[in-house]
Amino acid sequence: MLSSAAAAPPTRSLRKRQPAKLADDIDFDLETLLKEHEKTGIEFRAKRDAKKLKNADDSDDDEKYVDAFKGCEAIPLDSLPSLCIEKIFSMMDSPHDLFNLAFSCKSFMSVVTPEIVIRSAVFNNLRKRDKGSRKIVTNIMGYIKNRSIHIPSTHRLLRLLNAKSCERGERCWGRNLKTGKAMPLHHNAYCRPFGLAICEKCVKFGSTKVPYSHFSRFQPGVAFHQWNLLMDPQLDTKTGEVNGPLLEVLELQQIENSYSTTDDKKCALEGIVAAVHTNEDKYSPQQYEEKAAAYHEIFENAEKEADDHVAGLLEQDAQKYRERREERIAKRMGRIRSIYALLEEVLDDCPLKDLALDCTWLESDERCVKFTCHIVEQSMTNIISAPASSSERTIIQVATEIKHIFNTLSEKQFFTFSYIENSSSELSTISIPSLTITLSFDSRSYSCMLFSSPDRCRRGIYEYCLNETTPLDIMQSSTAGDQQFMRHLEENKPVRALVRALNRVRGALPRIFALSVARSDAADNDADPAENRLDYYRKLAETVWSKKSPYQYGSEILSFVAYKDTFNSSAEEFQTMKKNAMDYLRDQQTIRFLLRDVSVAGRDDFSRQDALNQVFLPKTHTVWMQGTRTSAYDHILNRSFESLRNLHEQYFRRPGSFGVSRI
Amino acid sequence: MDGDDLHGTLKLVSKEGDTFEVPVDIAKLSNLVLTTLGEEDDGGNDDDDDMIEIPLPNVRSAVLAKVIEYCTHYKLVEPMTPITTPLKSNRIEEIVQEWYANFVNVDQTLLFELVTAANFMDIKALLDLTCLAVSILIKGKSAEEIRRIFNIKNNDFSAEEEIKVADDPNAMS
Repeated sequence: MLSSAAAAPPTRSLRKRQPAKLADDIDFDLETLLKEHEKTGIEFRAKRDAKKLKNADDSDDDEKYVDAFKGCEAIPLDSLPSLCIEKIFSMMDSPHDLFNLAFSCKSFMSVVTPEIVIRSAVFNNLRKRDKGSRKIVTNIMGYIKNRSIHIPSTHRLLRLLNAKSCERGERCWGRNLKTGKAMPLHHNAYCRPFGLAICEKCVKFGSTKVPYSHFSRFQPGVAFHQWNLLMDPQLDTKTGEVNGPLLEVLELQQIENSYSTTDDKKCALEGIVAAVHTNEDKYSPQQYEEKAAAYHEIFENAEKEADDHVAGLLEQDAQKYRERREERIAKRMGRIRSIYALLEEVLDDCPLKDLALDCTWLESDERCVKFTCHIVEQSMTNIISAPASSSERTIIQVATEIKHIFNTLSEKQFFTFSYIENSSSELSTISIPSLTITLSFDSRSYSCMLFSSPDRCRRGIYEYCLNETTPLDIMQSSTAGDQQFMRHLEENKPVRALVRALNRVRGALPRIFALSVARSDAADNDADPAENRLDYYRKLAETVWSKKSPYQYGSEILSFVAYKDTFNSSAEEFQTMKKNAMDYLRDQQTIRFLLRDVSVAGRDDFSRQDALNQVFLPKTHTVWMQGTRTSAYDHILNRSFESLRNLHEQYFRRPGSFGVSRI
Repeated sequence: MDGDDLHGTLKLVSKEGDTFEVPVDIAKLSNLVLTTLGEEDDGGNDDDDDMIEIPLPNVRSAVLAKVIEYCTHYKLVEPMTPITTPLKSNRIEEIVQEWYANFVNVDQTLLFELVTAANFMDIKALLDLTCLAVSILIKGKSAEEIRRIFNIKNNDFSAEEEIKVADDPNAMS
């Protein structure tokens, strides 16, 4: 062998691979060389595979591993113990992979069970929430639950889940004669009509449409698609098995024609279903029932497991999110507290420091802190939203601006409100007809209404600021401390600044108006009970202000001029409304209405007096089914007492319908 | 065998005849060992000086070493997270701890031998882990690839059937 190898020249391919210097040197042992080469190659490959599969630091183990498996042939998958194969199958959560594995070897085909197939379909892509296979199996199980189709075998079920084209093959209505292929199923078709993998054309042309009144609808044993389509059972020419619906459309139609009553029809249907089971070679009625029940039980258990699994995943995600959020909040909180400390340091000598720094610490919110004063909150927004990227210089700059605002407020003694009494120049055009004030108002309009009473508007503002609000409430207004507010302050017009701030304090301006025009002065203490309703008149005044205010929903800010105009016009209208309300309450018809003794059955919490009191809170109602609107306000203003009484009568009878309650 | 021996060691003998001394507590992860110990106990083995030897004729030394490594880690370091279906992920690292994921990150030959050994020694956790590793290897492969990669030679399909299987899921009944 050696001599022949030495004598015979190397083959053409070998010659090519030899280095040039060896071409002349024929004195070498080719066989040994090849053996050595092969040995080196095996070692190299084994080592390479080991390195690929193991960590680099386990080099000693690699050597052992390489030695142990040198020259070892891979074990065929199908030679693994059947228990292991079953376990591997049960871990396949994709019907596609299951199909490939099952049909890769004949011995594997017998390992697949309905449980493995159904579970793989239900568990498929749970993490991606892609429920395509689950929808298909749900659709098929719907038919099985209704006992309306031939129960598919395990392999058929697997094929139904993986079907890509119409299973009718040559009989497919959408078959392409050029390619000879049946019509492909739509990739989003998660439906298996009648338990068959058929295309839309086969459904359209191969099914029978029955009226919705057909007796067989919703009957056990009848497979419907889209509520009113029926189809005949399909014969698989290759296997000779019958698939799809249990019953023929013809049979159902014959029952429909033959019997008049529903009970008779149902009875006949049951008979046919039983006959189909008996005629089948595959199963008796009892076997069919057992098989269907088993399939259904497997499916339900798998669905429950899948749902629990998804719920668990969601909970895990939520838990992770909560943990991350808490961690983030804690980190932010640390940074924001240090920013707050710096702010505190800068504002240290500010007299209104406490007011400026008033805040709420939000331990479970990513904002972490909310300053009570709007202007502070606004100034600090950028810093608080990105505490890590805010430099000390920026923080000090913003803190200085805040300090300037609060120092100005302090210097002007804004929160003593003493300047309101000296505000004659600012409030000079405010007048309240027949009741009060003004220093230099339009004599043409109001000269006859002059009284020596104090300036009620100023007193209204003063009373409100002193008794019904706090500096903190005022500073919560979005306009308190803004550019215009500060300009008014610097121009020594604190009332204007105050009114600007109160614009954005909820309900402040209507309340000030109410306090201004409805006062508990001695002049108002009349013996008439209709007069002694201070709180009621204040409610009426607030309603009047709201009606007259040009900006109903607080979207705009009333300028000081507009405020004065609104005040004047509202005061005028309030007097009219008050007079009319008093007249209404004093009216004989109204008194008779009050004394009319008609009780409403089952309700004693809303009296006639309560209904009449609604005159102080006039509302607007849309009349049911007519779309017209009834305004109690207009009735009072126009002295339509009869209409108003009718409305109050309705209030008395059905307060809930009108949304009225005791004042 | 007395009670003290249960906390002592026993010998596992591989196919090649190599002996591995293993603490009983660790070896008892295998139901085969557990059953054998029970039988030895019932048999009233009076020879206290002899350490129990359990022959494992189906398990090669290299594989047995890996199995013992697994059992030791399971008992002494941390038990493996139970593998349940639906699987949490397609990646083994996200289903079990990193060590166990690395443990089955081995050559296919060794992996299959581990499957066989786990089945023979009846170690449920190891069997679950190795079967999971195999199922993950199979995922995404066509029938032909599965046959080629996993060395399946006993393919009894006729040529016509094979074409149909490869071609169209509907085609073969």
